[in-house]
Amino acid sequence: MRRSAAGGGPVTPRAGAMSWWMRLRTRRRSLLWAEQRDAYLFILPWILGFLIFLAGPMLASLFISFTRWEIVTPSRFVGFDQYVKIAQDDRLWLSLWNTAYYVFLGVPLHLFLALLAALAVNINLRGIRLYRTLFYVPSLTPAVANAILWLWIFHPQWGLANAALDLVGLPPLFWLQDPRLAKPAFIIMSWWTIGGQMVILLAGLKGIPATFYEAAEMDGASAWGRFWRITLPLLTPALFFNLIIAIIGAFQVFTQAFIMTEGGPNYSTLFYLLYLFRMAFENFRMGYASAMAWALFLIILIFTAIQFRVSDRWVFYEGDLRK
Amino acid sequence: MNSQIAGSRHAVNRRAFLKLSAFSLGAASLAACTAVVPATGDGEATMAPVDISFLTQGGGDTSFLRYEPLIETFEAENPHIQIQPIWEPGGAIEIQIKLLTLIAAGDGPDTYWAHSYTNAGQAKRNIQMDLTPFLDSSSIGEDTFLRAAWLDFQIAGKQIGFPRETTSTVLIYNKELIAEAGVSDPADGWTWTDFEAAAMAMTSGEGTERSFGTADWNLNRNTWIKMWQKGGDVLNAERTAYAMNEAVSVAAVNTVKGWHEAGVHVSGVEKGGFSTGDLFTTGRIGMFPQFSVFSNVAPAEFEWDIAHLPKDDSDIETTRVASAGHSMWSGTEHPDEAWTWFQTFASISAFEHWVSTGLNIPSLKAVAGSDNYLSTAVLPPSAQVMLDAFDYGRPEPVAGDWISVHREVQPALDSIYGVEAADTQATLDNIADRVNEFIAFVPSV
Repeated sequence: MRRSAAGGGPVTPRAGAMSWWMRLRTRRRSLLWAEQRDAYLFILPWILGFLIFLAGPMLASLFISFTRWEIVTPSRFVGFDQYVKIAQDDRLWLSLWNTAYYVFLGVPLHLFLALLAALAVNINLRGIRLYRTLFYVPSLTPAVANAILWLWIFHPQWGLANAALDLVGLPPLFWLQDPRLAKPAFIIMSWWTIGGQMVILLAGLKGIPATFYEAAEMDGASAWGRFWRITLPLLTPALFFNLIIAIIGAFQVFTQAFIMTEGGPNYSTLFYLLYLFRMAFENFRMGYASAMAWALFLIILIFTAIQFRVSDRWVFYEGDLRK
Repeated sequence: MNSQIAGSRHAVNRRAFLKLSAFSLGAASLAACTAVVPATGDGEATMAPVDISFLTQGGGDTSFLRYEPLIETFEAENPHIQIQPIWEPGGAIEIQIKLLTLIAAGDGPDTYWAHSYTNAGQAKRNIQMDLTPFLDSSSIGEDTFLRAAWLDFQIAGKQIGFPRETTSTVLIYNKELIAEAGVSDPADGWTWTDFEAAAMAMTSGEGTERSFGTADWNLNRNTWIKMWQKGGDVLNAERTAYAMNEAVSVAAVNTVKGWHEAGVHVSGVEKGGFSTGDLFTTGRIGMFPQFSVFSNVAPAEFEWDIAHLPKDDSDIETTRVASAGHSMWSGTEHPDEAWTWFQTFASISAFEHWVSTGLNIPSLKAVAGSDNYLSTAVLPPSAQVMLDAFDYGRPEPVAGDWISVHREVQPALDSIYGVEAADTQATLDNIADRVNEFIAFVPSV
C-alpha cells in the first residue's frame, strides 16, 4: 500500500483516483485558461477597437440622447425630451418619408437588377470574366466620385440622361432640380452600384448543383420552370442576405444627397441621415442628433426583425424542411 | 505540452485578464488626457515661452500668404511668444465647426478668424473674450475702424473682436453691353424701372447661347436687400420674430420671381455649373449684385464698373454690409500674450500687407482711404462707390443661430425661383416656425 506524499496515512485506491482526477482536472483547466488567454490576446486589438470606437461611442450617444448638449456648453439631463421633440418635428418626418421612399422603391429595383445582372453573367461565354468585372467595378468607385459623375449625367443642358431622352424624342427633364424627380434620380443612380450584390448572387447561382437542372430538364421542365422552381428557391438565402444589407444601407443614404443636392430641391432629398448630420454638425444639437440616431437604430432593428420573421415563409435553406 | 502546462500555472484567468485590460485601458486614457507640464529649470529666462494658437482660413496659398509673414514678424519682435497657426479650409461655417470641436476637446484656439454671421451665435455661447478691458488701456477703438465693420464685432456692449475686411454690395455691370442696349448708364442713378428695362434689353439668344440681363438676386443675401429697400426684413425690428412672410417682403420676393419668369434672370439650371463670374466675364450676364470682391470678374476683357444699387423714389437707400475679422477665445489660458498677438490685427502694417495680398475692403480706416489701396489694379474705376455704400449700408439682422437661418431661407427661395415656382406666401409662411426657433436658439438654456 502506498503512503501519502506527506508521509501520513496510507493512500486508499479511492483517494488515489480522486487525487489523479483532481490533478488531471487542474491540468486541463490550466491548459484551457492558457488557450483562452492566447485567444484573448489575439482578439484583444479587435476588442479594444470595438470598445473604444464602437461600443463606447454608442453608449455615449445613448447617454447624450437624454441630454441637451451643444458641444461647448455643459450638458443638461432632459430625460426623454429629445425623443418627444423628434416625434413632433415635421422636418424629421419629411426626411423619414424621403428615406422610406428611397428604401422601399429603390431596394427592390436594385435587387431585381442585380439578379438580372447575375443571371446575365452566369453563362459560359468567351470573355465573361471581363463582363463580370465591368459590372462590378462601378461599385468600387468612391461615393464622392460617383456623385460628381452623376451630377454631370443628370445635368439638364449637357447631361447624358437628357441626351438619351433627346435621342428618342422626349423633352429634357430637370432631374435634380425638380422635387418630383430628384428621389427617382437618386434611385436610378443607385443602379450604378449593383455590382456588389451581383457578385453575391452570382456566387449563389454557382452554388446550385447542376444535377438539379439536369434532372429537371429530363423531366421536361421549361427554362422558366427551372428558374422559378430551382434557381429562385435555392437563391433565396443570398437574396435574403442582400435584402437585409441593402435595406440597412439604404436607410443610411447620405453622401449623394450631401454632395449633389444638399437636401434640395425643396427638401425632396433631405434624407434622414443628412438631417441628422445637420442637426449634429451644423446646428450642434448633439442630444437631438443622438436621439435621432437611436430612433433610426430602432427603425432598422424593427425592419430587420420583421424580415427575419417573414423570411421563414420565403427563404429556403438547402437541407431545411419546409414547415 | 509540458511547457504549456508549466506556463499555465501562472495563467491569468478570464476575469483577471479582463480586469487587467480595463485597467490598462483606463491608465492609458488617463495618461493621454493628462496635460504635460514643462519642466522649469533654474536658468530659465524671466519670460516663459508661450504658445498662442491661431485658427484661421487655410484653403490655399493666399491664406498662407496673408498670415505667415505677420507671424514671422511678430515672433521676431516677441521671441517669448510662438504663434501656432491652425489652418482650416473653408469659410464661416467650416471655421465655426472646427472652433467648436476644438473647444469641446478642451483645446480651443487662443485666437481665431471670425465672421459676422457667426458672431451672434458664438456670443450666446460666451465663446469670444470681451476685449473692452484691453481696449481701455489701448489706443485702438471705434475710430480706428470703419464704423459698420466695427459694429459687426460688437454685441450687447461687448467688443468681441476686430474686423479684418468688410464688404458692401453694389451693382457690377458690363459697360459695353449697357452701351449696346442703348440704355442709360447705372452710374447716373437708376430706378428699378431702369434696371428692368436694361435687363430686358440685355437678354437675348436661346439655350446655351442665351445671354441674361441679370443674376444672383436669387441668393438670400441679395433678395434681402431688395426687401430692405421696400421696408421689409428677415426679422422684426427687435430681431425676435421672423418677418419675411409679411406683405412687403413677399412683394419684393415676387419681383425677383418675376425676373426669373420673364427669363431676364439666369436660373441655377441655366448657369450649367458655371459661376456668375464665369458667365459675366464671357459676356453672358449683363449685371449682378456683388459684394466687394472683384477677383472673379478681373479676367474680363471688356470694360466693367460698379454703381450703387437701383432705387425707386419711395425706397429706403440701403445695401448689405458684412465683415470678417478675428476674435479671442474667452477660455484662453494666456490672455495677455494672446492680446499682444491680437493687436497685430489692428496694425497698419498688417492691413497694408493684407491689401497687397488682395483683401476686399480693409476695415482699418487709415488703410481703406489710402491711395495705396484705392489704386489697386483689381478695383473698378468707381471703387469709391463701394466705400460710399458704407454710409447707408446695414448688416444682416444677425440673431441666434444665423447660419441655420440662412440655410432655412435659401431652400425656400430656391423653390420659389426654381423650376418648382412654389407659391411665395405659402413657402415663406412654411419656414416661419423654424426660423423663429433658430433666432431664439440659446444653447442649454
